Amino acid sequence: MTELQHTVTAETRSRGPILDLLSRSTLLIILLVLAIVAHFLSKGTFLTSRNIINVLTQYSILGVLAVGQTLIILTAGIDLSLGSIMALSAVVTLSVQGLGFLPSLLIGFAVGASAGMLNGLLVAIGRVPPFIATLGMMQVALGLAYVISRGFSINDRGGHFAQFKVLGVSSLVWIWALVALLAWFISRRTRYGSYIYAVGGNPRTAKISGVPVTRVLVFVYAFAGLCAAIGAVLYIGRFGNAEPTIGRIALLSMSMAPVVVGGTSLFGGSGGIGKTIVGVLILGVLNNIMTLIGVPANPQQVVQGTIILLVVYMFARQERRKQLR
Amino acid sequence: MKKIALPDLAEVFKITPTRKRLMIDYMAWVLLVILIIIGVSLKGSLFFSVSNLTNIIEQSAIIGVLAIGQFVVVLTGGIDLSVGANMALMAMVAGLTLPLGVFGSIGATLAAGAIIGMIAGLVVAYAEIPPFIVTFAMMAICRGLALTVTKGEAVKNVNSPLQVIGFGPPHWLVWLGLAGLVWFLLTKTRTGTNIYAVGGNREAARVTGVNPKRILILVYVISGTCGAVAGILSMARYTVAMPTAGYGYEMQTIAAVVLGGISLFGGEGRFTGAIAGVIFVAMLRNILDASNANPFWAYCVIGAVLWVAVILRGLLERIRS
Repeated sequence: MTELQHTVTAETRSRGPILDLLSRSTLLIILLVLAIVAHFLSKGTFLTSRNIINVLTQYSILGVLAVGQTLIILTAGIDLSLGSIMALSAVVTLSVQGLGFLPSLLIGFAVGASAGMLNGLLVAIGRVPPFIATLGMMQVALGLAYVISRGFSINDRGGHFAQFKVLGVSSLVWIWALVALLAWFISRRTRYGSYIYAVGGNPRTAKISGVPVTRVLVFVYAFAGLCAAIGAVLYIGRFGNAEPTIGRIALLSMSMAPVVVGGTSLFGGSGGIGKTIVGVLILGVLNNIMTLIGVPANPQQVVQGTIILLVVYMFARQERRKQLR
Repeated sequence: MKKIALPDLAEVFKITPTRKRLMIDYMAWVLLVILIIIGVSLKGSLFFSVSNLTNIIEQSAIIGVLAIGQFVVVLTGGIDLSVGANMALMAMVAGLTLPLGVFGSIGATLAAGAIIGMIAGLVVAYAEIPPFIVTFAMMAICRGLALTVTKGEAVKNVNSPLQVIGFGPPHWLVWLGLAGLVWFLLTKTRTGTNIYAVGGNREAARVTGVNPKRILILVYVISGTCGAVAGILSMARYTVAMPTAGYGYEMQTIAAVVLGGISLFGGEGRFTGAIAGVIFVAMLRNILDASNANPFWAYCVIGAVLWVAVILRGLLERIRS
């Protein structure tokens, strides 16, 4: 098994330290330029620690969803249902809040993880294409969220989930960092991580080399479902309530956006959590700039869709050039 | 763990390749009959009354028009996730352009729909990005535009002459007319053969002199135009166009065409099957509506139907014969 791990490492993880650093720094340079532009547009308020913490807090929910999405996209899959699963677990968590903080939290996590697991089973065993399986889940989870909440907003009555500050930074950001660290550890430091890259690189080769493809797929979808449930808790922490429509919020239903903007390949096998974090920050700064120059929320959605298309186009072209070489 | 030896299904039921093909092609019709039996047993003779059946046909029309576009796109191995958002946007375009007169409004909407489809088609054909990403982004763009043009307000147009095609036979005849047109295109023209060819094997199609890029753009233009027709029908029927309308329609259309026996990998599928699939989905909603359950259960049921349809088709496909 170690042999496989080595080949995977050699093939998909790094293309030599210099190239890796260069491609990683391209994104960081874009981010830096954006930040400087934002700094001037906001007349010097953008690059203050208070504003940066604000942006981080605002994007922590999307960030957590994007972490789950990254592992799925690494296996050449996609999950269109994370926003809906988030809405479902948020509604479930708050409707059982009478049981106390910890039980309701765990029930919410269980709901999210099982919805994700069902996605994984459909993809791995039912051989349903990922975007079809998760498109179905997008509606099923949303329907269930509506049925359970009867369409109403539910409040966090005890305020148990409310965010708090640790070292001056909101708990939401800390939780996002923890989830990202966990996913990074799984993907880069464990055997399962190399399996994930192997399945995305070439599922047939992976299967022949003894990778438990079915188990790996079920695991990544379940993990993403769990991330959606964690995102639900963050949402409740930030807004103090939950309703089924939160899954349809444009930004949150597009959790693949930061992943592709960060440069993880939609065809699987290359990319990673670090890139996604940068992708979330780029989108966050970009939206912040649009808000600063007075673009309302709805046209921002149009811009975001266009950005996804442009970025995917860019990376697809790069990929093809590499193949031609 | 000991593996249980499954009996060879193909041998037990004497499934020849032709029979397998027939089973896949007529899956929707068989399921439709089963659903009718369920409907009758739940609602009795009321279900089979002329008024309820015409009701179902009328309720099929808008989804049916969108499913035509979806069918043609899926034939090329693509997918259009933007049909619902596109329809919402087109309904608003139809409503906003009504001051130009009925024909001006219809013309402007059809043109707008074709342009939206053409953009998606150009990106799919030339950038070679997976269609589900292109159309997912397109969905966000259409939804964003629909929310932007009126700042989230609905467009109202009561008492417009457009309402003629809002109800009754004129309403669903638009659907069936368009279906006839596309059926003719697919089965009787060279272009139709080329669409199947591109879906079946793009490289082989290219070698035989078909331009796959042009075909890909064409199918998305057809889907965009179908979105425009659905938008006009929706404006005519409801007299209000909401920017949030059509949510989940993409799934209903995909469920319908998959039930109709189309292959999600392209190249295979009968158009009439998709029509049966649309009626199946509409009938399902009709039965759910009548059962007094929470209307949101319909979301769940149709999602589950999509899963079952894809798995069922995959199983039928994998029977060795």
